[in-house]
Amino acid sequence: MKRLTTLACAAVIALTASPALAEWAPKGPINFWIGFGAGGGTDTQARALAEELEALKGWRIIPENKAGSGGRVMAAQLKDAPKDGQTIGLAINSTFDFPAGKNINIDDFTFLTMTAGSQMAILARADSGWKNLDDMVAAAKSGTNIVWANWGDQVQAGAELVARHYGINVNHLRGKGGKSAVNALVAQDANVGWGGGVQRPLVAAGELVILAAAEPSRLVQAPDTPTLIERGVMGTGLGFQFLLVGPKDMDPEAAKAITEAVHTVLKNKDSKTAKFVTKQYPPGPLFTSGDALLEQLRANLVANQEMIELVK
Amino acid sequence: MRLGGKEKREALNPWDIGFGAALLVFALWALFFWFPADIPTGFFFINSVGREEPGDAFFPIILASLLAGLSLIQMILSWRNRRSGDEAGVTGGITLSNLKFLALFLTVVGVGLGLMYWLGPVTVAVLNAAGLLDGTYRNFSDTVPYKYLGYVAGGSVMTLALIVWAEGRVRPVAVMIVIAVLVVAILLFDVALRNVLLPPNADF
Amino acid sequence: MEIVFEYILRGVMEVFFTAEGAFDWLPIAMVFGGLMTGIAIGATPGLNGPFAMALSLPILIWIFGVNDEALLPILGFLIGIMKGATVGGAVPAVLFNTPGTPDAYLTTLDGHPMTKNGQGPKALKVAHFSSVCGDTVSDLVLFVAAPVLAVLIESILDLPEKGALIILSLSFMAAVAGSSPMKGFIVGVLGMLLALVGSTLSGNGPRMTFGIVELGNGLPLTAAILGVLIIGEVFIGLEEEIRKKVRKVRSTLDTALGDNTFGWPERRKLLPRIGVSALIGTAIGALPGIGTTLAATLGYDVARRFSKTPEKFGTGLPEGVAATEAANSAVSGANLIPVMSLGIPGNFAAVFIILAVESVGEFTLGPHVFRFTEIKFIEDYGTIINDDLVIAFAMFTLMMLANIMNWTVGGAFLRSLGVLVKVPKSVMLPVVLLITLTAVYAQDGGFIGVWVLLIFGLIGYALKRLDVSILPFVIGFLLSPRLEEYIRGGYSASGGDGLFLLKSPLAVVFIAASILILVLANRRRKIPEEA
Repeated sequence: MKRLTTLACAAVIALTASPALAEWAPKGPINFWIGFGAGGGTDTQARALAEELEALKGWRIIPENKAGSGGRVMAAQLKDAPKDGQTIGLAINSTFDFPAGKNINIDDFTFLTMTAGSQMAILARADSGWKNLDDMVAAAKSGTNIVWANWGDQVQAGAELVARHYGINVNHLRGKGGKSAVNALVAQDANVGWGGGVQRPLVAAGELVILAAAEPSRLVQAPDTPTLIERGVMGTGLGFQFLLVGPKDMDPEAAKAITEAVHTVLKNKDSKTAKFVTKQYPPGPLFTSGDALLEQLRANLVANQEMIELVK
Repeated sequence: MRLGGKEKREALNPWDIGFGAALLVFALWALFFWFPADIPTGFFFINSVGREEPGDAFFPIILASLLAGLSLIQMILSWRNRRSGDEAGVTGGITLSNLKFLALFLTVVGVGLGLMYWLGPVTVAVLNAAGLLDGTYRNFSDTVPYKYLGYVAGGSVMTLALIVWAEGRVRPVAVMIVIAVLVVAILLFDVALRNVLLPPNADF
Repeated sequence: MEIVFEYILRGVMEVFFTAEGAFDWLPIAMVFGGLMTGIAIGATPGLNGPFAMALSLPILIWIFGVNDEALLPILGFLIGIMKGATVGGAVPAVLFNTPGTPDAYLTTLDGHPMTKNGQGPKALKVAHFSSVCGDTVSDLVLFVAAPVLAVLIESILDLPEKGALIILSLSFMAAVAGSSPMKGFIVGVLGMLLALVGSTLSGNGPRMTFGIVELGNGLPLTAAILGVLIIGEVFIGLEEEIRKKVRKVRSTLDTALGDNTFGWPERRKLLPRIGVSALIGTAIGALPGIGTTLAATLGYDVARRFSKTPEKFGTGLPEGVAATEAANSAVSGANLIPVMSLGIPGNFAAVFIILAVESVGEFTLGPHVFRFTEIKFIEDYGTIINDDLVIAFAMFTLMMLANIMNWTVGGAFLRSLGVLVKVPKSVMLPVVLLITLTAVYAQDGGFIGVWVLLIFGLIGYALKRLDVSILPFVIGFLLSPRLEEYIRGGYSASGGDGLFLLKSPLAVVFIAASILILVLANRRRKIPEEA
């Protein structure tokens, strides 16, 4: 019942926000493609969002998973989708702004809005006895073989950057999906790993420790642990943000209407989507959208290219 | 009952050695034509951090080489077994009549799938031309009756054709069963489950 | 020890209560529904458990979705089918002398003579009793063995060893299933190769896709496996129907019924026989690739050999029915030992359990499941717990639940099936084709799934016709991505040592064993075929 009233309120707000204009409405169902597999953080978020957009706007939205290559399999298909606003996708920024995806070009898409962002951290098991990055470096220097779990080129490059900075040697272990690195850590297949947010409960339980943060600012869970930027290891964060995307030259009316609708859902603190995002990706929803978002992605692209040059 | 025929092997079994030969050809084709054209990185590659690591072709090449080797062994084994004749094994085979069946079968399925894919869009296009509708099939892929046209027509043609072929006669009960199945599928996949689409509606 | 009980308790609660603490009837109802479906399907000649599991999995996924909460109802139904089908298989064998599966053939040896002697209902009672006994024994072994094995494995095995173990189990499977071990292993490798189509770990764009963007994440798993297992079977079945057209086979039971009571003294007398068979079945079930047929054969053989009246076997002896049914039913639980402890399926039923687990929720199978993480409650975050372990115990609970239902209502349902009107294959197979096609389309969101389904159907058809076992192909297809991860990971973690697989003594032993198995199996072929 409570949800119904909040939805009703949201609907009223949405209606009063643009009373005179005839709002854009899709002519048929909206295909909402999810760039990652079923059951993960992106999927949960996207399905909640689809449900609440449908309730808010009365649009028919059909979510569908198109997993693979960090969202790039979905993006490769989205690129050629009709531009009527009836096909959109949810992926992350590195799907588009990391240069390894040779078949993906940032100019082939219309970027609608961010929804949330990561809490990127360097992790180790608590039983390693390491409290921060310096402990790990010291262990590596005294002969411990460092196996560092990652899930993609970007974070692997980040790991290499850390290794170069401190003059240690690390072996990289590549897995699939953000959860794989934490799994490898817990299964003792690796002794250091990246975590983008899934580590939250394990860190809270004291199973894992955060050695360093890789976001522009310190992490919610480890306010006393310095970031890699503070340590002077790198100039930018490695974290990711979730992005709602359409094909290039998408109907601007549609882009505007969808972005506004998503913001309405995210701003409603009682919505399922906002609750999930706040819990899983603290501190909460992100709203960067349109040109500001595109600018940020372009800047990321340059920064990532520089990082790759640096570690080559 | 084996229609492919299990024959006692007296001499060289063509299916035994042919199995090896076919897969050997496949493995060699994969190694020398498929992989080079369709795998972006090699057996090893220099990754973004300047380290050499197994490329995307690493495991495929290992497997395809293994496949080639095993197929060769399979061919040699079937050749040797022929000469020593120590075991009169039985092996299946694919006969000409098997192939005829497959060809006909796939034609029926193909016609059914073709109807399934095209009937809706073609109907909408015709109605558009006649000025009765406005918009492409994409906009009507969630509108009754267009969204059911292809599925019902294609599904019933394919299923009924196969049943009639198998039974050699048309029984009213078969028609009723097919209709019932289609109704249940529509109720399940379209009405009850809001997040999935019936064929061909996800392709538009 | 306390923590073990805590986890078991939570697993049980997971089945019976919702997160809010209300009584949850859904998993129970699902197990029941699955069990009844399984018994009915098992009792239909030409159908078997894996077939029903394959067909219901996609349907279950759309009904319940892919969230964590969906896993238990879906698994409940599948487990129900798995258990029901092993019991149901006895019906046509006993009543009509038409075994639905190869292993049920041995049930006909004494079961059908009993029917002719007017003891049909009693034969079904014996079959049901021994089947459920065998199943229960097998489950109990699973509950104890899987965690112990998993803990051992997790502490011993590293990436290279895990990789070598997959190779070993594949060669073992090839050696025991099908008529030719060499061909079995070859199709296993072929399956592995085809599974590599799609996305890559290196992130350098898709591979082996012929430029089809929809294949970027690989060949759709469900479509491929349903294709090779179900559609291949539909092709074969329809071809045979078309050849013979309809030839009505009617068996009527006009024998006067004799004494059909099956009391406790008699049951107790059968128990040792059932026990031996159950242990045989359990041992065989725990080994990947060996099917129920061998278990049934061995069970029957041993019973006859150690009987005081071996000459009476085949004339309608309850012992004969009991020995076969206990053995083949004991396979199903033990089959899950390699699944739960290693994540490696050993037969088709296990393939569908794995498929369900991979498609639904975050639970994954493997040795990590049985880590007894300390349970802590953290303010604002909830409880820290190894959820996988809770799910594992919940799965065990579902199996026990299925057992209990099998004990109580299963028998009555089983005996009522003799009067069921059978749908002719000529109607059923095209309908199965249509449903599978629709299901795959909905799951993979496009015709790409349908094409993959049909192409893999052709592969399945060809393998069947060429008399090559399909099991290694399916398992190879399923495990290949993991093997690649292990091998690449092992290579990288070793710091780029090309011979890393041979640096670990255990891995060397595994590899040597797999080669040895293949060589030996090729020398002496002809081990009974997998069902």
